[in-house]
Amino acid sequence: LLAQLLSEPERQYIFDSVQDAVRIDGRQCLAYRQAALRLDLLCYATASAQVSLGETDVLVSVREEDNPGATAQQQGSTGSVAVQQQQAVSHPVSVWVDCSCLGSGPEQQQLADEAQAHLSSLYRCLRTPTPVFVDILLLGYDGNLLDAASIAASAALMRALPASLLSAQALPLFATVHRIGSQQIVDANQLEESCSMARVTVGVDSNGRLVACQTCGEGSL
Amino acid sequence: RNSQLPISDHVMPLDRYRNTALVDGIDVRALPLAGDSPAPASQGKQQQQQQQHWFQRRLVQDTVGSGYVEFGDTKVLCSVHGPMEPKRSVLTDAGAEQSRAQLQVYYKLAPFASHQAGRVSYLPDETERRAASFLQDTLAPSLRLDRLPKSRIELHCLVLEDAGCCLATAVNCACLALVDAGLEMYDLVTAATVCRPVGATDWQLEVGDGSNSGGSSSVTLAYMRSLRQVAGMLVEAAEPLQPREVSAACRICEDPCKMTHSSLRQFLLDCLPADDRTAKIA
Repeated sequence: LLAQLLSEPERQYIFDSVQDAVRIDGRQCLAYRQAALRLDLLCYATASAQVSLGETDVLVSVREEDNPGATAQQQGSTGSVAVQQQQAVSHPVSVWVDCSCLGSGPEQQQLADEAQAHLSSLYRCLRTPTPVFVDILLLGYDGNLLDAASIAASAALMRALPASLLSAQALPLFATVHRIGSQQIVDANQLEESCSMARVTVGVDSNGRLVACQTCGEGSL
Repeated sequence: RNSQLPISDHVMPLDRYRNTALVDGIDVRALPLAGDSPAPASQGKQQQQQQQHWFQRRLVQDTVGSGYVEFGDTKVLCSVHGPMEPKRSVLTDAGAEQSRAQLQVYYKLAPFASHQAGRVSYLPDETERRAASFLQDTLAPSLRLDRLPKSRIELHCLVLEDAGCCLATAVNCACLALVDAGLEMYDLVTAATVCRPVGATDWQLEVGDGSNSGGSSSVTLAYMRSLRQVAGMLVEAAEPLQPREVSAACRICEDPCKMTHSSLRQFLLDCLPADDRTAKIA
C-alpha cells in the first residue's frame, strides 16, 4: 500500500488543494471516477461481476448452495410443512473478502476484515431461502474499496437471486464520504484516503433509505 | 515491581509519576444505583431514566491503567498496556508513521458473557473484530498520540456480561482505563445506544437489562462533550431507515452521552483527593 510512504509535503499539498476544492486528478469534490462493470465472467459461479473504479478493481462471485433439506421439504409439501419450511430456512448472505493480490501484510488483512464487516452489515436485511456466498476478490486497490465492492456485489446478487426476492427488497449500495479538513470528498483514491481524518460510509437502497451507517477513521466530526 | 515490564520502559523515560506512586492504592467509588435487582420488562421505561453507571478503576494490578464499568447488568473491564515497543512492519519505517503512538484495541466477549447466544467461542469473531475497530476509531481522536512517538498502546477490552448496550459501555470503560493510565486526552469520550424494534416508531435508550432482543435497529453514538464533536457512530439497521430517523436517533443519544460524561468526570475528580494522599513526593 504505497500511500503510507507519502511524505509530509505531499500530504500537505493534497490537503491544501482539497480545501480549495481541487483534487489531484482534477475531479470535482463530489465526482466519482469512471466506473466499468462487467458481468458473467466466471462459469462456476451462479453470478459474477467485476467493477473497476479508476485503478480499484474488484471481482465478485456469488454462489448459491443447494440445500438438500429444503428441496426435499419442497417436494413433499403439504400446507403445514410448507409453512414450517418458510420459517426454518432463511439465511443471511455470507460475505468473504480476499485481499491476497495486494500482499500478505497486516495492513492488507485489516483492509479485508474491515470490508467484510461493512459488507456483511450492508446485506444484513437480505434473507435468502438457500445459503448464498459472496466472495470478493480485490485485484487492484486505489482507494474506495467499499463503494466498488458494493456495486459489484449488488450487481452479482441481482443476477443470482430470483426476481421474486428482489422485488420486495431493493439491493443497497455504499457511498463513502471522506472528510479532509473542512471539505467532504467522494470516491477518494488511495492518496486522498491517507490524508483524510475521518470518513462516513452509508449504505443506501434504491428508495433512499439507510441500511447501514458507520464512521471510521481516527478523526472526529 | 514485576518482572514483566517492557524493555522500553527503561529506554524511554516517561512522565508516569502518577502511576508509580499509586501502584498500591485501590480506590473503589460507587455511585448509588437505582434498580439494583434485574428489573422486570414491564418496568423497563421507568428504569431507563434511573440507570446509572458504576465506575471502578485500578482493578487489574499489573497494568498501567484499568477501568471497570457496570451499566445495569452489562459489565465491561478494560486494561491498558504501554507505551511499549511499536510493531515493526516494512512500511512503518517511514518517519511520518513513527511520529504518533499506535493504538491497538482488542475486544473480546467472555465465553459466559452472552445471554442470548449461549457460549461464545474464545476466538474473536466478526462482531468482536468490528467492535474493536470501532473502539479504535472512537478513542484515537481524543488521545494525544503525538505525545508518545515510536510507541504502541494496547487496550484490552473484556466484556464479562452482555445485557444490552455493550459497545457503548465498552467505549466508556475504555475511556476510563485510558485516563487511569495517565495518557493525555483532549476530552472524555462517552457513548450511548438507542434501539428500535422492527416496525416501531420511537427510539428508546438501550439499557443493560437484557430487554433488547436481537432483531432491532440500533444507533450507537460516541460523543466528546467539551469539544462538541462526534467521535464515532455506528448504525445497525434491521430494516431500511430514513436518513432523518437516523439523525433523530443521534440527537436522542446526545443527552445520555452528556450525562455519562459528567458522571465519569465527577468520579475521576472524586478519586483525586485519595490519589494525593498516597502520592510519594520524591
